[in-house]
Amino acid sequence: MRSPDAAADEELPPALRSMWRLCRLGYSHEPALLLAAFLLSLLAALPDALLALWLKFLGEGLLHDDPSKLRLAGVGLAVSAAATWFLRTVSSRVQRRFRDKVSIALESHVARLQASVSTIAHQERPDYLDRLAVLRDQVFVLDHMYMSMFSTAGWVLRLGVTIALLVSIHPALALLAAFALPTVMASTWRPGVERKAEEKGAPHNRLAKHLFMTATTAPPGKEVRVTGIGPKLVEDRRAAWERWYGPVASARWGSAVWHTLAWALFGGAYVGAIVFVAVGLDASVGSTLLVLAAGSRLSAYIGATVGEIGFLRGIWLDGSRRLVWLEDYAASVVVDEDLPAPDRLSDGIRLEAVSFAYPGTDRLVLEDVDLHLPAGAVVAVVGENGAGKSTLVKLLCKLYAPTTGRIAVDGQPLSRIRGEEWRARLAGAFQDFFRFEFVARQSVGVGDIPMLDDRPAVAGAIGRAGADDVVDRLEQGLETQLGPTWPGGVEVSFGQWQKLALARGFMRQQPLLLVLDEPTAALDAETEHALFERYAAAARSSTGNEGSAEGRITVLVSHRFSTVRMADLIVVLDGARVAEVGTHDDLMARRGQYAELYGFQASAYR
Amino acid sequence: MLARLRERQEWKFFSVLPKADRGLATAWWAVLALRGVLPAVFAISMGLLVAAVQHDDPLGGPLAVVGATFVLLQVMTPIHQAVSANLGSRVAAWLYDRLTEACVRPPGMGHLEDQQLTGDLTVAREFDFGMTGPPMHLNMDFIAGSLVEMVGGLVSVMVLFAFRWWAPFVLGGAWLSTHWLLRESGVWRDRNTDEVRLAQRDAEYTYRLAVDPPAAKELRMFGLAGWAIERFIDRRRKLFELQYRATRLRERPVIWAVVIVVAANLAVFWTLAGAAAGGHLPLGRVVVFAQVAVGASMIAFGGLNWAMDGASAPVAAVLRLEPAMEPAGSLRVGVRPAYGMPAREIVFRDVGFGYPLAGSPVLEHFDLTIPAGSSLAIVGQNGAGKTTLAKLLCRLYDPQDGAIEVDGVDLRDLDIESWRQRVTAVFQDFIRFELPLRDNVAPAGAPDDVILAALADAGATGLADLDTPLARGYDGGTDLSGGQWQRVALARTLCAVRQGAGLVLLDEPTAQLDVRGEAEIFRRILDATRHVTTILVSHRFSTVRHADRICVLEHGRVVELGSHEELMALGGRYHTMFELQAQRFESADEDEGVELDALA
Repeated sequence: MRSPDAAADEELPPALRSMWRLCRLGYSHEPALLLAAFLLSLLAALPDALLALWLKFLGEGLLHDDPSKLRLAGVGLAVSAAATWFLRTVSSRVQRRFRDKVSIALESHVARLQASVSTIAHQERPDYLDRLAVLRDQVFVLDHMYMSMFSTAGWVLRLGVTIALLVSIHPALALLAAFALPTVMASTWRPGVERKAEEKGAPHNRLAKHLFMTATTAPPGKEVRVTGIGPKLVEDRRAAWERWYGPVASARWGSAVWHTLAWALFGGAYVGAIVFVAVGLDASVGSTLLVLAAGSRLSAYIGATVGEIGFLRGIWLDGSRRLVWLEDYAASVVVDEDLPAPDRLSDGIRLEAVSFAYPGTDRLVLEDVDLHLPAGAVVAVVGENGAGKSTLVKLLCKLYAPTTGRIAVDGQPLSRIRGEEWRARLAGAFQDFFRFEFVARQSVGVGDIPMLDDRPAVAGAIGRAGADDVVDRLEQGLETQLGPTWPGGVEVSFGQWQKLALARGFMRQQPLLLVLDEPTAALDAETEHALFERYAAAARSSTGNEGSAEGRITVLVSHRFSTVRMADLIVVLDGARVAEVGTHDDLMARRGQYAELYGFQASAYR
Repeated sequence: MLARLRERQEWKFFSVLPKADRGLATAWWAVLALRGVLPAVFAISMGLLVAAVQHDDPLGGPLAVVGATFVLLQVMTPIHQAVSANLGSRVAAWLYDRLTEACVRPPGMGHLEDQQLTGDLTVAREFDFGMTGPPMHLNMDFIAGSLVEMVGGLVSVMVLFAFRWWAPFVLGGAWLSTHWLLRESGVWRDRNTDEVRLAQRDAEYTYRLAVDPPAAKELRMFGLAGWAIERFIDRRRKLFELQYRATRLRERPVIWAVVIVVAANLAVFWTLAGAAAGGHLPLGRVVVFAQVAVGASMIAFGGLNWAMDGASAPVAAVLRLEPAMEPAGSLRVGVRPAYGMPAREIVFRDVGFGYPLAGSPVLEHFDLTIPAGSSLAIVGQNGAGKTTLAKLLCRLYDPQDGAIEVDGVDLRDLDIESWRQRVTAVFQDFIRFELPLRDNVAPAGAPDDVILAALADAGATGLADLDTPLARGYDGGTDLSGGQWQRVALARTLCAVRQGAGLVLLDEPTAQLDVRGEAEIFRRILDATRHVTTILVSHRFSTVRHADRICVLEHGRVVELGSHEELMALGGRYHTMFELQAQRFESADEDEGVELDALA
């Protein structure tokens, strides 16, 4: 497996390879539409480019008194004008159709790539997040890239035809195209400068956005009103924005100046070309007409090509490079997983000299951890904030791989057990659970997808989580839409969400590992109490009834010692290390850290 | 009707431009007009030049005109681009200013929670984030480009009056008719119906679910990726089919448009060729007329294009929101100053309150007296109305029945700003300002020594330098843990107390602190707030027993009220709840009789 760190340090993949890969992707999804869209954009270019030629005929016809040539020029102009419009209209529709179709493919491709990476480093590392944000939020830039490529091809074709027309007067006129080089250079260079100015001001912009969200959303609105900082927020937001805008605006004006200079140069060359043809070559009126018409069109085509290439470079190519980076990244974290998940646990899970630092950081969150979580046991993990409790859980769920050391499940290395299969045997709830804003039944049911629509199963899980009262309070029970922003949706309090998250965690009936990562932090005393009884019950049922159960291990992260004391095994984390391991009685007898912390909390009740 | 509405939306958009930046808006229109005229001017100067070449006249003058027009034609594009980008940015900033002000101004909360308004607010809020379409600084350029074409086409076609009086009507009319004939396929008219919007949001939500970090852990644990993506594809495909059916090119109008366009062009160009063949027209004029007749096709490509809609919809939404939010978030205006309040007591007298959208009221016939200068804890289950009491005291809402009286004065009669200066509050979902520590502790400003003292009171000394931004992504910024943030929020309140706040509201202030921190922090808080009125909302007994008085809340009513000792002696609800937790520390296995298969 390639280290994901190395991937982060790498630059984004090269532009052309990325573009080519995106083309192949589009072709594999919609071959016919892709070809049709491409050919139509080429076809649409032709009548447009021929306009200059018709104009030449018109001049010649008039001078040579050739009525049939005049009629030909007339018809040619009329048909060209109409055909340009018709082909452009049709081709834009075909392109749009292609885009719609391919954008579904692209979006699901991006989603699948991200969701299929079995670890979640890319979802938590700031540098990866930034890199993915563009891709995630603006998948539409990718399908724009196809359009951009098609139109670029069209413009290049027009450019070719026009240059050919100019060369037909005199080969030296091809040089006119060379004078357009400064405009091309300005167009490739300036977008980068503008982008850099924007990126440099990004913190100001971020702050402005943050202050804006603070001022305009309900939850912070309470404090905003009590502290009376509303007007200050308005001012501060504007000030932060102005700090962003100043340099960005200057960069834009700077671009305008450079573009103006470059185009002025081309304009000079153009005038020179006319003089060269009209005076130097002493050429016919027809040729003068051609150089006038073709030359002026040349500039339009160069302008369009350059603009399109600017877009390609500035925005759309960037998107495709990010996509290819993601593809590479997803491929790099596919490891050699060749073992199935076990049916049941007999020995348990062992951590051997496990250390862990979050990718991209140096600080060890877990250091040299040796642990045996016996099959069938309820294991409580305690420790102060930041002590690596949640990290331990993430490692067990295979959301991260240990930096060093190994985790073994009944002797088999967890790293080789297929992630999807392993996770199919997990259940539980996290402190930072997600609020699935579906109808209540689905919000719970997603905990076990095959049972999604199985009402009795969902009701059972709700019962196990003690969330009946939540559902009872909902007007339409299990069919109530959660989340007030949906039609008919209701607002559910944090504590109620937590109970639903817990119910979701209890959907799977036969997990090998049940993870409860501070699942009751927001619940009140009675609910908490009722839930702890269930943990206790679960603990007894699986240890008292050996052989029948699947040897499930329950890992409970908590800082409430009233809960913790019921566990079969208590792991006390101090900093990144394991300080003590044992039962409640063992640890109390040792009079160590656990006993001290326990005493602290218990004293509050005496 | 709908068409008129849309016109108004675009009108609003253009009327906002000068408000955002008068200079840039003027420049934008001026350059637009110039760019619109230039193609016709260029065609005419081409005619002059060709005529000069034909008659061997001196070329200097015509050449200068051609050259100047040509260069102008070229350089106006990048200049317009820069003007558009900057004007677009300033329009976005202006709109955000309006929106921020509209949200912040009303003293109540109703406008931020009203379901209809929040829908509009979301549209208005996110228009420049680049998610639903290009941001304003790009949109302005798209709009400019399209308008330039329309103006350029119209000006060109006007020149044809010099050829035949009917030519502009025939040609201009033909190109204009394409807009009308293909109107259905141009813009998706029904895309703002509830059905489409819902499908769109649904697809978007599922997509976010699959790709955004918050759901990442559960997505993997429950193997939801495939399911979520299928759901997304299904929703999205439906959406696109709806759109396709609404906007696909229909054969008949297309054929009509082609026939009209070809006929009109043939008529004009054939006549032109005929006139040229007959020797009625000199070459220079033929060239001019041919050029402008070709240029007339710009009419078909220009106009108010799709970008217009993306740009004007948020403008309309913002302008609509401003007046709508004012009444929704308004509260009765009081004038009496609240200086020194509460000096005697706060009284809830027969208070009834329910949230606008919730079905049942949270508080009914609620009575409670809170003596000033003491601490009161409010405990109870989730949904008992604890937080609501805190919100009512901040006067974020007014009760529907009864009254809250401070020192005998109805809260509604007090000047709201004056009252809020007396109050400080930490809610469970307190604000985490992405600002330096200093501004997090004192958002409205305070001397550094007060801030440091408040931090010390909250046990948050040494978290970070006062100038350190508390968020990643800022220069020198750092991230705090949940517990550390909680201390910062508490320091914010304690800082306000030091600055003279007389009523402290703590709504579940220690939910994220660990054991040691919890025990410590409450000693500190009660010390620092001893001389003021403190109201503590919690479901934890370890926090509330130290309060002077404890109020047990159930279904919006006070069930018990008294000190810890009194309530314990009473042997009621509080006693039961307290014992329930306390016993967990004393014995392990007293809970027989529970169903053993609860989790199996």
